[in-house]
Amino acid sequence: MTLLTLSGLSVAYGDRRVVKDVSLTIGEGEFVGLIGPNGAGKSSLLRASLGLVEATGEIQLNDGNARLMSADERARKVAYLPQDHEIAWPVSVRRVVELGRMPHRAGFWGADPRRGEERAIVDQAMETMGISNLADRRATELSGGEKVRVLIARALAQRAPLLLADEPTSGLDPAHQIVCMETFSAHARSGGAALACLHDLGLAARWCSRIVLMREGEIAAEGAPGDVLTPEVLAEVYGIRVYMAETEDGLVVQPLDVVRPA
Amino acid sequence: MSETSSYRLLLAVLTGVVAVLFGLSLTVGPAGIAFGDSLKALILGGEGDSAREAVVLVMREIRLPRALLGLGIGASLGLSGAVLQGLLRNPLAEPGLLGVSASASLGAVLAIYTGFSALFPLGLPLLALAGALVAVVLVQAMAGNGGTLTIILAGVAVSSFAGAMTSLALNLSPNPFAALEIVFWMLGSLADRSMTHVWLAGPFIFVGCAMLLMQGRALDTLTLGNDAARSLGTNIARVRMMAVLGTAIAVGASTAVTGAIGFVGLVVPHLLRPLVGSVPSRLLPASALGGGAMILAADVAVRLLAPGRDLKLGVLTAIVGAPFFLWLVHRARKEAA
Repeated sequence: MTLLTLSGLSVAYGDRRVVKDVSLTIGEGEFVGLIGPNGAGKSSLLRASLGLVEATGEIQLNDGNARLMSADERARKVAYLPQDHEIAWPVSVRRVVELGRMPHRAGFWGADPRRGEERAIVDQAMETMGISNLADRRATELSGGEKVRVLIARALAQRAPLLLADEPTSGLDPAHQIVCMETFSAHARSGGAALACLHDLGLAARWCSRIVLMREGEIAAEGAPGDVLTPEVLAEVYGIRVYMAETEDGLVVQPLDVVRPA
Repeated sequence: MSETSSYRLLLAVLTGVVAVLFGLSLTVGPAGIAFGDSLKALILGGEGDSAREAVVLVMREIRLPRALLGLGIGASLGLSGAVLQGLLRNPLAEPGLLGVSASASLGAVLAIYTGFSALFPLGLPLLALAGALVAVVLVQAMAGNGGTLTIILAGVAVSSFAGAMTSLALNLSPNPFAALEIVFWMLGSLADRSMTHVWLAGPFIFVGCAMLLMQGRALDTLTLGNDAARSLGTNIARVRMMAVLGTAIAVGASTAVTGAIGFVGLVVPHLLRPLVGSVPSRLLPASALGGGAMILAADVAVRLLAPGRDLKLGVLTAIVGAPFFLWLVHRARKEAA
């Protein structure tokens, strides 16, 4: 089943068109890496898919028109991890993760996220991100990496089939970058799907099932990591020279130097 | 103790404090009525006995409205402060920021200046209320679909303009008595209010507070920023409108009957935030109770500190509030260091 279908999606800020007539389909089981130089329109594409910026074109979630859905209904179908890691007040880590249950709470008070199944979902999300021991800490006092893991746990607790993430690995050490990518990959394997903007080509090559390469608001290339991440394409789009190797663990991509300013 | 049970305990303690202060407010005053007599007169009345009738009059027409208004106004200020701080994710936000208080004051000043207040007893609060509503319509119209910053800027603009017009009215005041009346009114007081004022402001305060209290869940999601909140199903435009309108209605009506009372909306949420684990939704009922307690306490204090001198409530809250706020800033700096 397809979880997200974009057809002819365009986003413009004033006269500047940042996403131009993009069509993209993401199905169950896929972990799609959205890559491209700064300003290619990756974040705008994600935000438009969520209805956070005005866009023209069609947006379908689970074969339903996203624009006709209530905000709660949409939030039960797609979770979003923004690029900025804002936590405004010194609330407890558990409180932050519990916010993921908000779209599932009907009525004014709703189900108590501290009881029964609701609590189990929150606990499991914290367990997955290895932050169970931080549950009672103040979220504003955490290190950058811990904060990112808390916010990923919040998105997981939303239990939405589709997960959209804007540079989820930035600010994480290598071990936690891998945990993050593994989590998204496992989410996809268990019947969901993930679409993540990534700058780290190595992580994208190793973990994503499909790569979508954007340039100047358009999809420049799309396909399996081995087909998109070629020295020629990367030289063309990013202006870099890369080292590449096909290993037992998959494709290894390491940028080496700039061949022309991007 | 778990977070939830300590929250319940806090609400229970605050309710108790409010009840005690409400009782004190009913029993403290220049009439020198004994505690038991005053409550008996309030509840039972006193038909046929002329001495008792006077006591009943004092209790039902002077002290009861004063206590009720104190509670309602304090709740409006504390609650709207907590909602605005949550909405703007800024601990310095307070109801005055939207220009509501300044515009309500301007309405009242115009009523005094034109003599409208002397012609018709409700002229002053009605014009003040109209001033508050004009302010909120202006702020909403100017802010449009823009972000939080535009609301603050629009509020500052409306506030400055209303302040300037108030100064102009003082400047051109026809006689010193009118000027004095304007200045005294602007200091904020609960003295000499009647049940008519309660019936005038009460429904607005009730509706405004209800609108504000309903925003708790949305404010919780806003902890993670606008985009994350929207992705969690929060309609930001609606929350913003409810917060601004609710504040205008509740604080506008409050200012209309008492004049401007500062610092309560700023200090109360600050003081209570650590006690509710900083959770925005939990701060709302706590701040409403805390604001009510603070105004009731201040109003009892003005009667005890300077009986017969008519010390203004707004003056006291500012005198106590400003140094207290400095202390909060100092503590925040120490924590940050």
